[in-house]
Amino acid sequence: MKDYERALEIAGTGIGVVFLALVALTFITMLLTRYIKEDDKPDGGPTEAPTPPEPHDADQKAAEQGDDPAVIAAMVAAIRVVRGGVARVVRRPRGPVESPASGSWRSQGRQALMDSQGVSTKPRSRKR
Amino acid sequence: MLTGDIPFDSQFFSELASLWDSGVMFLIAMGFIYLAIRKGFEPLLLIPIGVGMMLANIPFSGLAEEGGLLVLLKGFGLDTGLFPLLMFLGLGALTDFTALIQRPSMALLGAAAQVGIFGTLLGAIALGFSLENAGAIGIIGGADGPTAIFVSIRLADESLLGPIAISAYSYMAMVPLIQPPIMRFLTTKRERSVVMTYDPKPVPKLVRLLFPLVILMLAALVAPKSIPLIGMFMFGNLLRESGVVERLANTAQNELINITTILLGLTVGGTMVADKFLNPDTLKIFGLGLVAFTVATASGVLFGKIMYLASGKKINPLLGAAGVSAVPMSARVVHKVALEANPNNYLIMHAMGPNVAGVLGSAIAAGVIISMIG
Repeated sequence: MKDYERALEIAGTGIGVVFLALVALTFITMLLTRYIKEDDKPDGGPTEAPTPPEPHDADQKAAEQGDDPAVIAAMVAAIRVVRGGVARVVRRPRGPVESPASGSWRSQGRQALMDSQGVSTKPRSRKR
Repeated sequence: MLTGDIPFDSQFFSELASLWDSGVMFLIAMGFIYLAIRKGFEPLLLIPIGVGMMLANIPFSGLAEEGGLLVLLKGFGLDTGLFPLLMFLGLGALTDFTALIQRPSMALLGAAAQVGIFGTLLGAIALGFSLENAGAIGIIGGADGPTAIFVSIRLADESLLGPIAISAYSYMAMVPLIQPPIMRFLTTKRERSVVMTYDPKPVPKLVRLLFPLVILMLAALVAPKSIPLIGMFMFGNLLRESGVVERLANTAQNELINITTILLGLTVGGTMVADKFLNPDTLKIFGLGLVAFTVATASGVLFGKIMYLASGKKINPLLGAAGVSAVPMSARVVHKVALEANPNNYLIMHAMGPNVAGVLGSAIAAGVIISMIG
């Protein structure tokens, strides 16, 4: 009976202390979030967001040449193709015939690059 | 007359009985390993515990005797409390307090679920356990393995350490089976269907850094005996949030916690020798463990209902069940039960708040029990 009374006392104290601690935590957290505003880099997670990879020099060149992002993308692709920077070409299913836009940009970009650099448009053989 | 011809003396029968007990322990250990591998029940702990049990119960191996490996590990890591504390360091480094900081009132649900600890304490006294042992058994209701082991080392008889640890981890693994019926019984479908939209507010880094320090100071004020647990937990969390010691945070989250898990499991299993484990107290502890999880879940859900009413029916009462600090299992269970009631109700992020608050609540409760009983 003595143990039971002591256990009741421990239970009452324990529940009270746990609630007290977590109620205090609730209020302090409310105050913290209220008065400490977002810093320069609001953190969505514990680790910082990964920095974007350094732009390829070809990307930079392309970015300097025009404003149209589609043309820039086409130019970048063309430069990488010319430099052999594309390891392999993945064949993808053809898009619908009614949407030739991206294809034409790409070919125009490639052609413009080749014209500007004096590269032959004929098929090339691999150098030995 | 046969009496004079029997070649066996009482020592032989005693050794035969001991071999029989060892065989039973072997079967139990294999049962744990089976549950871990085939059913996925806490495999990270049950496999090392099962192997530790097997090794400790091999006759004449000397592993569980003075100078044996398992005894050395126990003296080094359990008797000192080192292994559970290192586990807490790793858990702190793994814990993200974002959900709790974004909605601090969820901490109250983490407090409510700790009623299970103290309810079980009373139940253990009623079943005839001493106050010290009852305190250690009660902490099973915290649904936190390292905390249960830490309190058992401080308070309980050595023979109860294994059953308490096994009970805590087993019921943590069975949270998806234990909690849903209680949650459905205590709530209406309308309550379970309450949709809570998630509006992720960005948390300033300074708040993230201050949060563990605030918890540490609060714990120091209200329950200083919980500081070993909370202190290591907050140290791990500070490593994570500081952003300048990524290597240390990674080590705490991976290598340290993995090595400690192996050693802790093996050592706890090593304490479970037949003469200490095969007794009625073990069955009582398993029964009380189930009571602990049931009461913890029920008290959390009932407090959730109070918050549901107080908030103008905007808080889903199921969140109370996530106050049981089986991270992240009970949060997932809440999410799943809410989805059953309303397929568009995604509570997982809301449930993580009470879930991590439950870890803090159980550590503070452990501190109170140790200071009042120890």
